[in-house]
Amino acid sequence: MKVNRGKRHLKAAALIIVVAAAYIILSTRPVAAPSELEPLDTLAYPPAGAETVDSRNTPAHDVVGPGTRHSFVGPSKYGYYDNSGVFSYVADRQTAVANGGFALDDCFLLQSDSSNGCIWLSDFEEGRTVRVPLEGVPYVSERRIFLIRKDQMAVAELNRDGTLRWSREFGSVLTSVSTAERVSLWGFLDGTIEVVGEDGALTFRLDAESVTARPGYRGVYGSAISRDGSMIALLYGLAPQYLLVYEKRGEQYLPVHSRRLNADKRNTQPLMFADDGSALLVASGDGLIYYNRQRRKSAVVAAGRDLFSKSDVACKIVRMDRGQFAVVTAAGGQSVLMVVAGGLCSAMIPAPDASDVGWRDGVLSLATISGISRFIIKGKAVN
Amino acid sequence: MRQIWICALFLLACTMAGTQDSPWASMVVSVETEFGQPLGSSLSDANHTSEVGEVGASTALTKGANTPSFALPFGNPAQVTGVAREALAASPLGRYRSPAAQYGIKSEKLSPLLPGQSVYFQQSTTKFQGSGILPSGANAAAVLHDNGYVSIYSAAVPLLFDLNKVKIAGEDSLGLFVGSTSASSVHYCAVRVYDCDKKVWVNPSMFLPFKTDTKAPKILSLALLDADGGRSAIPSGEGAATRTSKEGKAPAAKIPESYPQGSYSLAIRALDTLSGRELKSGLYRFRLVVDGQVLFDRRLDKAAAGYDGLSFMEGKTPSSATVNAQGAFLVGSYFFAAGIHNLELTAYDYVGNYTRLNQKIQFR
Repeated sequence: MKVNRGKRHLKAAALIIVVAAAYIILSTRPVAAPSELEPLDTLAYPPAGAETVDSRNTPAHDVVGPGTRHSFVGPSKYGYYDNSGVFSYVADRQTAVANGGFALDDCFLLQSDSSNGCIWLSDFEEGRTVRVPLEGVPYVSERRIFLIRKDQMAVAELNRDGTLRWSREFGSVLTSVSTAERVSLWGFLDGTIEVVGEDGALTFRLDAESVTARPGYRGVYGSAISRDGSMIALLYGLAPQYLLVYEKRGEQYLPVHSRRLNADKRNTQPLMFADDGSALLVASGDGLIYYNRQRRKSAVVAAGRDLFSKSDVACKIVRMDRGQFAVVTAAGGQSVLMVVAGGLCSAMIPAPDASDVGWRDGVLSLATISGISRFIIKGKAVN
Repeated sequence: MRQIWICALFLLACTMAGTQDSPWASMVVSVETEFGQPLGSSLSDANHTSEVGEVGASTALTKGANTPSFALPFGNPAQVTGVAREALAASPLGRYRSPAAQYGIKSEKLSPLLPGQSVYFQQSTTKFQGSGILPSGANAAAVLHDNGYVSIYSAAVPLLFDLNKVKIAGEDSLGLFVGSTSASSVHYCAVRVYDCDKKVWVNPSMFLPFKTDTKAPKILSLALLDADGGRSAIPSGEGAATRTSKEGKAPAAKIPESYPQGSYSLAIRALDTLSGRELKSGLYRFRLVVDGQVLFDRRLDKAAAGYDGLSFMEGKTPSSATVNAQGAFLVGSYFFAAGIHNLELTAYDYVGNYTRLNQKIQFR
């Protein structure tokens, strides 16, 4: 009798261990089918200038219909091209930086003109350019137009006709920014964050003292807000640095996940929520970190970890479909392009001199020194 | 009582900090802009508000005017005018007061004011840009000091940071100015100092033991602005008598025409001056005495960091609310009863040189 009871206990314990192990493995080690990046074509840059140049070096592909305008930022040029490979505007990056900088998306182009003390705002949908008599650092994201004061202590959002939508001065120095359609998230060197509505009103503020994590130094080193504004994520503090994730409950954002990192980054790193908010990708000193919203767990994406540990690492993350991300990373003369899906790196290729990555209409584009390389992804990543 | 203690501790901390050896003392060769000085790209545009279109968003740009040095995607650019232009000019990007002081330093090395540890850096020549990537117009670094201050250094010119160095000793450099022709080149660097405990920006001049500023600041005007329309009730300093710390008695001031009694906002236009090879230490204090009573006595020693921005000399936030289109310091609103009043405004620079302006004003 005693032996049977002992066996039952043993079986129950074994079952618990197996279930626990399965849960841990499934929740922290998501699986993904490998994807394949298939080269489509390369578009060589035309000379700089406001001109229309057909630079196709391969036959037209017509993946999707022509006419849609795409922005790009090359190592030495920036501008626009369409699906058929025709460049509609190309400008010299070095000249623009010397004039105070530029920012662009598929609809708006902001170019600073420090010699005239103004900004030129071009709206491609409306087909007009407006001279805005303000100086600042241009920033365009989610079809929203911002100017950041040069000392990073104030911001103004502009309407598409160049008029002021709202402006706001900050008490600290801005170190990170993330925008959604109706809300924006601003992170500061003193460890505070502010969530600002589309009218410029402060809707939520988290002071450094209210953050549950207790690093040696409090500062915001990266931030992201989901497209619907329901989640925010921060790369927070030094010694140690933390990844913090918050979810919106009523008017408040409450912490739902905290991860202590082994390596600090003292410059701002990119973070990005997936299109549907199901996942978050973070560039950190530990490597790329993938956060799964449903499981509220995070894991380091093993691939490319060495690159992220370098002090001079630079990175850009873009959203793709179905919770996937494309990442281009450069450090120490080495650059790679990665596709991250379901917490795993499903594709990784060398990308020498890459300066931009984009995802539109099922095509992944990579701006390099020689032109814009376009890829399609074969194989669906699944979690 | 508690406030007195806080002020005393603050001054003690600043004094102690200022007495430590700082490489900046020997490096600084000029002061371009001062702590709290009214700034803004649109200050000179203030009188252009009556252009075409009172409410219109934009108007056609005349051919050849303000053409940029780079090409634009569309041939016929317009410009923002009228009310829209004024709104841009009045925003914290149009005019503001900065907690930074911009120094010209004669060294290819950028050293911190005090030893500490590096807590932040950014480079303007970032490889990538776009959504989620902070666009930075300057190279910058921040250092956390033992006294709880964070000092921030930013420069528009290229700076090469030592990214692996965390502890910064007194002689260490944060970075090197790139592209300088010689070690004696002058580089410009904006310095800000933040007190993490008190949440205030501290005047960085406190860390620089100026010794060669012997020239008094200059008061360009003292104006009383109507509460409603913001018009100047008293023309810029007309009829006023000024004397400086180096001069004798002020001559008698004329009494201009009278003004209705009521509340007026005070606008002070002043600047610190320099002579020869001296440095200017910067405006530091304004003191207004009306009929022998001190109306206000405020210092540019710190700026409080509030939810809506920066507050200088206990003024409103954001800082753009305390700067007018002429670049004057707006120092608050005061009531003046009927009668002749004697206004005595004294402006001090950081080392104690001062200028005094006397003005008799009649209110009816």
